[in-house]
Formats: sequence, structure tokens, C-alpha cells
Amino acid sequence: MIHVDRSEKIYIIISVTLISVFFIALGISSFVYGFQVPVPEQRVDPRTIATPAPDNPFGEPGLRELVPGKKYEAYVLAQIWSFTPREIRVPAGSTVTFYVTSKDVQHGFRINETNVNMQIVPGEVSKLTITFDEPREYDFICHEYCGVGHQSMAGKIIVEP
Amino acid sequence: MFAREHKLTAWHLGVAMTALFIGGFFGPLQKLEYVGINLYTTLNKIGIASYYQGLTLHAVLNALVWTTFFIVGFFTYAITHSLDKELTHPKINIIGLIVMIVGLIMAAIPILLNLATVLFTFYPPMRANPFFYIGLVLVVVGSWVCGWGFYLTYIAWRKENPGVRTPLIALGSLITMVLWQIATLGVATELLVLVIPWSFGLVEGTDPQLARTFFWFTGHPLVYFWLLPAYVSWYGMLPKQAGGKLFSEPLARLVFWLFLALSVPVGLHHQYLDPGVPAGWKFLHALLTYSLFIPSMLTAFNVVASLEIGARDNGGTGLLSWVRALPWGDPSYAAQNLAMILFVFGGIGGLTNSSYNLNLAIHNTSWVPGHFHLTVGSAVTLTFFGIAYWLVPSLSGKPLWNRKVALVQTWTWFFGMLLMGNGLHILGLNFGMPRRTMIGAASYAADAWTPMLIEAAIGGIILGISGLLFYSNMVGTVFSKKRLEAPIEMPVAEPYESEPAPAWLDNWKPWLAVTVVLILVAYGPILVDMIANANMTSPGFKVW
Amino acid sequence: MEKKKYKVPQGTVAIMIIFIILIIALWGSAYLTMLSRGVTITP
Repeated sequence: MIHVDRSEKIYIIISVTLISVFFIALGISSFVYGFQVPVPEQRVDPRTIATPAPDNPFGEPGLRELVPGKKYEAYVLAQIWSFTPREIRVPAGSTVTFYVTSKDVQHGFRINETNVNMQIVPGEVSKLTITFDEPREYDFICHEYCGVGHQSMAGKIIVEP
Repeated sequence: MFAREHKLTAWHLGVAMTALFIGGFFGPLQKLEYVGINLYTTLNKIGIASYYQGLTLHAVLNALVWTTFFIVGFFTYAITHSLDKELTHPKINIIGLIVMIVGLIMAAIPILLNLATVLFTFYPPMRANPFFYIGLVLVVVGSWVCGWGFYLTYIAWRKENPGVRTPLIALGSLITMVLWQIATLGVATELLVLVIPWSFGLVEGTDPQLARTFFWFTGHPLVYFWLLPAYVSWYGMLPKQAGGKLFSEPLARLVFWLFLALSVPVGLHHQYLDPGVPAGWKFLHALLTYSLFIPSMLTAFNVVASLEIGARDNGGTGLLSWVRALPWGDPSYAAQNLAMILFVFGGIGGLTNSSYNLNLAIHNTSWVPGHFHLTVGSAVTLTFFGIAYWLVPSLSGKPLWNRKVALVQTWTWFFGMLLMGNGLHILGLNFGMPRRTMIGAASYAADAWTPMLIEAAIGGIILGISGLLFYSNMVGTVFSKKRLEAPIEMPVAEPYESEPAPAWLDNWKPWLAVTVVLILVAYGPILVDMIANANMTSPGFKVW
Repeated sequence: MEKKKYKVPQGTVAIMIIFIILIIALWGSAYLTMLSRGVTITP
């Protein structure tokens, strides 16, 4: 075996311990508490995703009320260089599940200063949930380069009292 | 001896530095745009159509061309000198260089004509001119061919020197080339199977999720392809430049082998927020990426200990004041030591990026370019500047034009990156500012962002000045009329302990086997599943 | 092995302690930022 200096051995043990603690912290926060990344939800055909149809919520994107004042679903369609809808209004205290997909190139969907952050890939639906506690406004923005108008691709969420 | 190798190295370095000059030019312009000084309307007159065309040039020329050409050139010099053997088949390396240059020109023309404004990630279904992709493939294939020239030389050396340990510099360099060869299979598959036929219109649709997965199969080991040549210098050369010895030579070898085994099966950590990849696979890649923490930490200790040996031999004392006894007056040394300090922050940022759900906070924000300007833009590029400060004099036979200018250059790069890196990290983490976006024109850019945007812009301007200082020194050296009195040799660090490394640290077979097994475990099932269920529905779009 | 000339690299140990503290502080602050922003799947 290799000769390793004693102080370096201790250092390696500390490093391994540190990274193990970090890893456990990631595992617990995501799989136990629900600070989770997007997972496969549904596959779609980007060529027909914007076409209205009874079984296609993206044909008529927007907010759906499940439990008034409490629980909502938001279907957001991304395309160059805008989101539909551009503005979403929900009451404070509501939990909103976002379903986002693209009808053309890749985009991003980030509600700023929150944990809703997803890559938007044509052919896949990205899904994350968030609870809006306080009344305030949030920007949601496209964070993946999608062409010359990329910087103007954004919308607003208005959390009403 | 080595005349042909030196000429090849000089060609690679020349192309690399030309690319960085053009690509680097756009860097300060981007940061000025962030604070509302938009110079792109002026650039329209010289044919740069948009911020994003400039950004494509910045990314492709800096991250792909500068790095790849410099690395292959540096290795041509380092491997042959380390083995003390000329290339056995120099024609192979000449052909490799020609293929790389042809590919570079073929990819550059569509970018310059605004037919490939797709940035360096070229995510489908954004569709560029086919010759952009073919050019990129040729650059990669050319670098493979250069690698084959190295392997044949190494095999011939091995036959002449049975039982002798491969010198560390040669071993680290060869491992890096093999890593590159394995890693680029992903992007080669993406381009040759999915993208190029589709860009010619031979197939209607492609699968963007699958293409991303192939891309990041290459995309992460790519960063180790950039970083490991800097490690070759930090382990193999810098201790000598500091008057020290390599603290633990066997552990240095182990680190290179661990990077070979662990660099590839980690690519999904770039796709944590992708919708089409199951959580379990992402978490497995998180674990494998975290295991790369160990060779990184081993490197930190080993390199610093090697420098400490040198500083104490030069009269350094105290717990920390020995740092002052390091050769700070030598620009080659200073550049690389400052590169290491910036890499402390680059490394911690990288650890954060690899941390699974922490990507909810930082994915695709300006945190990410903040991070990679501290890694590839500092740890790697500043080290390459440091290498150039002895290598270019060695190749040209002329002394460095101006040592003081070189010292100012290294320190300005250090502070410029520190300011820009800090600004971009904070804007990303705290405010979620998106990366590679024309922020000056974005409606959502808030007033609270302004102080950090200004900090980043000041950093960008300092970096632009630093770049000009570097180029003045390179041009000044090459066109100088002075001659070196004695030739400059490659610095080679001796091991601190005389006992040779154990044989298992000089044996390719087990390490290559581990590498292949880990790739099969981490990528096999998920790739088979994604290919079997490929969703070839996306037509191409030109969005610029 | 030349045990006699072997010295513990004290300065390196000190620098590595600073390094590890920095890792904990900076990684920890990103982790706390994420935690402060709430869960992302339905409770």
C-alpha cells in the first residue's frame, strides 16, 4: 500500500465524513421532506400540444381551481418568446402545482426567489408544487437560452391577500 | 531533439491563443451590457448580429477551442519530454492537428455568418447549419488522432523500459487523453446519430431529452479534461518551480486514476431539473459526483504540502508565514498559485452544483457562469497562462518579454475574476438572475441587482485589460530579438519520498475496467430505456 | 523509508482546516437558502 502521512489520514477521514453528512442532508431534505427535483410526469407531442382537445390541458393553458382558496393547478405553455398565461393570480395560502411544457425549443421555468426551478424540454411535462404564504408578486422567467428574444420571456404571479 | 514536437506544440498554442483572443473580446462586452452599456449596436457594423452570436463565439472559442488546442499542444510537449522520447509517429499528430484546424474553420464559418447562434451547448431542437456540427466533430476527432500518436509513443517507450514506472507527468497527461477519448463518445453519438442527420433534414424529428443526456455524458468529464492538465502542472511541475518536492507521488497517481474512473458516470448532475430523468438515477449520479470530492481534497492537501516543503527549504517559517517564501516574483508560479486560490471557491461552488436539490436554488442562474469562470476561466486558464510563461520562452528560445507585465497580468486576472465571480454567484443564488441572458434588456432585472451587476462589470473590464497584458507579453516574446542564454527545460518535480509508487498505480487494465463498469452501471439502463422509448417528435427551429 | 527527514506539514494542515470551514460555511448557506424557500412536492 501507499504510505500516507498521519495528518493527511485524519484529513481524509474528516473529508469523507463531511461529504457523507452533506449527502445525507440532501437525501433527507429531498426524499423525506419534499424539497424535490422534477421527475418524469408525462410525455407529449410538441407538434400538437397547443391544439385544443378535451384531454389536453395545454390546449387551453391557465389556472384550474381544485379547492377554492387552497389548491390549484397551473398549466403553462412555453414558446418563443412568451409564456401562456403571462399572469397568474392566486390567493395567499394557496398551493399551486405547475405543469409546464414547450411547443418549440427548450426553455426554463423559474419562479424567482422560490424553489420552483425546472428545465422545460419539448416532449416532456415538468411539474413542481409550491405554497404561496404571503401576498406579493413574483416574476417567473425563462432561464434557458431560446433565441434572440430570450430576455423578454417572463411572466408574473400575483399572490393576492 | 524534439524539434518537431516543439513545432507541433507551437502550432497548437498559436491556434489556442488566437481563439481566446477573439472569444475573450466578447467577455467584457457582455458584462457592460448587463449594466446598460450596449455596444452590440456598434458591433452590428462588423457583422455581429446579436448579443447571443457574440456569446456563442465567446463560449465556443474559449471553452472548446482555447482549452482543447492548448491541452493537446501542452501534452505534445509534456509527454515527449517526460518520457524523454520523441513522437514515434509524428505524422499521426500532424494529421490530428490538421483535422482539428479544418474542423475549427468549418465550425467557425457558420457561427460568423450567424447560422449557428446556438451557444456551445447547441441544445436541440434549436437547429444550426450542419457544418457547425460537422466542424465540432472534426475538432474532437482530430484531438483523438493526436491522442493515438501519444499512445503509440507511450507503447514504444514501455517496450524499451519494461518495469520502469511511467513518469508522473506523462501518466497524468495520458490518463487525461484517454478520459477525453471515452468521454467524447457521448457527444459524438449525439451529433452523428441524432443531430447531423436531422440538421440535413434526413429525419423529421429528434428527441431533445435524449440529446441532452448524450451531451452531458461528455459535458461533465469535459471539465476534467480541462482541469487535469492544470493538475499535471500543479503536481508534476509547480513543486519544482517552488523549490520543493511532490509530497506524495503515489497519491498524485491515485488521483489521476480516480478521475479517470469517476469523471464520466456523473453527467446527470447537470440534468437534476430535467423532466425526463427519474429521481433515482439523478440521486445515483449525485452520489458518484460526491465521490469526486475525495480526489479533489487529496489534491488540495498534496499540492499545498509540496509547496510548503519548497517554502520551508527557502527559509520560510511559522505556521502560515512560510507562504511569503514562495516564489511570488516568478509570474509562472504566481499565476498558478493564484489559480489555486480561485479554485477553492470554484470547487466549493462545484460541490454545491453537484448537490442534487440545491439546484432548485441555482440551476441555470448566473451562479453557474460565476462558478465556471472560477474553474475553467481561472483554475485552468490562469494556470495555462502560467505554463505559457515558461513554455513559450522554451519553444521560441527567447526570454519572456516583460516579467513585471506578466506579474501585473496574473494579479489583475485574479482580482477581476474574484469580483466577477462574487457578483455572478450572489446574483444567481439570492436573486435567481438567469445565466446567458441579455440582462440589460430584461424587464425583470430588479434594482436590487444593480450593485452586484456593477461589481461583475468592473471585474469584466479588469479581465479585459489583463487579457491584453497577456497578449502583449506573448507577442513581445515571440517577436523579441533577444535569445535565451541557456534553453528553458520543463520543470519536473521530484517525489519527496524515494520509494517508487506501487505497481498497481502504473497499470491501466484494472482502472480501465473499473471505468467501463461504472459507466455501464450509471448510464447503461437509463440510456437503454431512453433510446428504446425515444420521443423523436421535435422538428428543428432557427430562433435567432 | 527515510523517517528522519519526514516532517508533518503543519502549515498545510492549518490551511486545510480553513478550507474545510469555508466549505461548511458556503455550502451550508446555499443549503439553508434552499430550505428557506419551501418544499416542491405536494405534502
